[in-house]
Amino acid sequence: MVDRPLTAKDAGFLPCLVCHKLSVIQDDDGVQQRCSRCGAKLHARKPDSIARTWALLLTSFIMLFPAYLLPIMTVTSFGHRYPSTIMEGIEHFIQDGTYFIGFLIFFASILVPVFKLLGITLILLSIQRNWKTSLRQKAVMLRIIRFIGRWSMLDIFVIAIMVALVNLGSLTTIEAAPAATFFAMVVVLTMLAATSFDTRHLWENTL
Amino acid sequence: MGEHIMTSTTDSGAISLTPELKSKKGVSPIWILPLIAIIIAAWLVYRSIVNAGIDVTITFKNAQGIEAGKTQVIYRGMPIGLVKKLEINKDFQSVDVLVQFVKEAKDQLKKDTAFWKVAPEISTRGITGLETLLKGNYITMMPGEGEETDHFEALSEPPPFRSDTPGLHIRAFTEDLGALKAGSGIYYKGIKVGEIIQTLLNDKTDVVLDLFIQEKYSDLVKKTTKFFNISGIAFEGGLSGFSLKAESLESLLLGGISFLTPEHESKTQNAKDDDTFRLYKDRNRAEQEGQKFTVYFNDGKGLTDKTQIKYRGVEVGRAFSVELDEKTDGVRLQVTMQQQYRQFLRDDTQFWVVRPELGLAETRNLDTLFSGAYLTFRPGKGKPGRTFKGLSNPPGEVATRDGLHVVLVSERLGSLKSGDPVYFRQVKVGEVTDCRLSEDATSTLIGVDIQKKYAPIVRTTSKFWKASGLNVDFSLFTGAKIKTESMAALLEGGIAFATPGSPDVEEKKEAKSKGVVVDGSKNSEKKKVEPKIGTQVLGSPVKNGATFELYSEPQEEWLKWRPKIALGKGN
Repeated sequence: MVDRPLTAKDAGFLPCLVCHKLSVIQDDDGVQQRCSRCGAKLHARKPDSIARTWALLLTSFIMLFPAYLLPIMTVTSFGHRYPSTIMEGIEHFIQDGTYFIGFLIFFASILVPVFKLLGITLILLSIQRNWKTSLRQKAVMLRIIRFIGRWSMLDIFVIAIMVALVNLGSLTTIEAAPAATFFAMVVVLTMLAATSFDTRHLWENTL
Repeated sequence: MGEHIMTSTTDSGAISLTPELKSKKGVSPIWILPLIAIIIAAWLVYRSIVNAGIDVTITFKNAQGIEAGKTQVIYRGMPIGLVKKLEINKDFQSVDVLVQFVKEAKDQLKKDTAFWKVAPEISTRGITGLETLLKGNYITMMPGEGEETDHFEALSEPPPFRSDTPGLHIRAFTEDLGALKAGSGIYYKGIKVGEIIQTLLNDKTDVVLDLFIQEKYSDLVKKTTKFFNISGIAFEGGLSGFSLKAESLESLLLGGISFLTPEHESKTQNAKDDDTFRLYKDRNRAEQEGQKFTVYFNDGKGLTDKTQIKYRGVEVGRAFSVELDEKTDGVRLQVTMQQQYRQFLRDDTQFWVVRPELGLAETRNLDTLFSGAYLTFRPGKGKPGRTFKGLSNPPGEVATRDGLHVVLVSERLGSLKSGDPVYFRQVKVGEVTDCRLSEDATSTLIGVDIQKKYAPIVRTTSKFWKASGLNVDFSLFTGAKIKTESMAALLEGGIAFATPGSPDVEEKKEAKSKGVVVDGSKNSEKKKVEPKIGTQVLGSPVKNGATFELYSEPQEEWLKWRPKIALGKGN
């Protein structure tokens, strides 16, 4: 006897993730069931959700290192190249006394990506390890992660605008450096990871 | 598709609570992503290992302008290293600069490799490192030999010697380096063809200069080439004009040397590496290198180590040293005579100094006011000599003059002196050449040289008198008469003479009064006609060395003599 509410799956239904219509699970093996209303493919859970999330997450983790260690932007001023990593940039702003911008960049490009990665890792682990505590908070966290994901691109936007604006020939030019690519990939991959995760796994086998 | 509803029952056997998810075979393709990421990361790691720089510490006495993460090590214009960190040495006397080199530089980081900082510098050595104004200072290096090491001492200034540059390496000796320095240029016709690599004091108190001539110019240097200093400004001036010479701004600031090869020696062999040359003080010295000789003077007034030697107004040599001489209690002037004039140096050659003379009536050698006194000489005919006793005054010009030389005997010398003019009808026809006492000291002997052209005027019957001073004739009736020779004679003195005779002595035996009288009125001359005294016979020409009496004033009669004498040929 299971002491938990009946789920759609338990009841033999498949919800359509697009139009939310419940369909009865059919038992024909090998045939992909589609939503009778909108035609979307029906899955009880997002297919390979956890594995995909893990894969994207790991990729993000790996990409995080070059993103932080390599220079993200190169300022060429009077023939001299000043490449700087994200941390150096933040340091520069803090030393300059522009704490707000320094903190903003620190928040957007260091805190948020790391928080997202760790958060998703925590959620994945809690599913696999069957940690059933603070599920509601984890859900809130996931929502936050999904919401702020896009803001991590702030860095990339800043660089893009700087490169376009500061192009004074031999006086000063700004170029994007390799870390920009890696950083963008980290952001995109974490967003994908966050969306590819099927939230319902969190409550699987819970009350 | 039919519907199949599973209901949950309490019968655990009938209803499966596990999700009916079909487990797919194989690995999800999504795992390609982390795989790619790992490959990229691995590649990055690999690259950073392969390209790992070489960390080297360079100790600078002063690391001004060196910044961590910015200052580069540039070799031949290419960045090969980057300063990673600066650390003050424990003893606070120097700064350790941690530099990461590209791995290709590994073979060059040997014990003798020299590092130094390139900073913009505006100094007497020139303006260097201008590019660093924009790019910031950088460190540069010169590869050396030796074992590999990772700790270097930076030089405080660029090393002078670039041994790898092909060209001619020669040496020059000089007594005084002057403004020359390592780095000073070597110029040929104003083009920089090389530079001074380094300067050393050798044990013989000479300065040795290592010179480097660029390969393409090395043919210009012959075995007989003479090097000379062109530092600073050469100023030469005289009445004939001034010339201010500076070889180039660079040589002006930095000093420089140039060289020349005497034309008649331009066919000699090219110089080879390690040949030695003498470095002359200036161009003139290099050009006029020649026979050296010494002249002793009692007084060195006006003599310098640049005093020229002129003969008939042409420079033939130059002094190079003037110093006191203890042995002769005088001044020793060392002179070089240009090679082609060395035959003038005979043991009876007489040297004397020509100085400016300013007088009321005559100013002579004014050019020497500006150009300085110069040395001149009267060539002798004896054996070649190298040591001479300089005269304090120009010698009597007996031998040099080919005019008529006569001796005048006078009781007193008066204001006469060597060089005073001899007038005939107020025309200068000769000069007093020397004044001396007679053997028994009873009279003075005055040597007079009459120009060749005018020599026939002097006859055995000629009368000489002193034209110096004024002759004031004062009487109640005629008033005052002041007689003198020309104004120049009044001021400076001189000798005048007259020769008896009239334009046509035989026919008229009449004297026409035409004296050398200046009394303000031509008319007065007529009044002074006096009876002839029968001395109007033209005497016979005299020979060299003839002696005449020198009267202190002329007799009226003499002034009326007007002989008709054909002048001699000559100048």
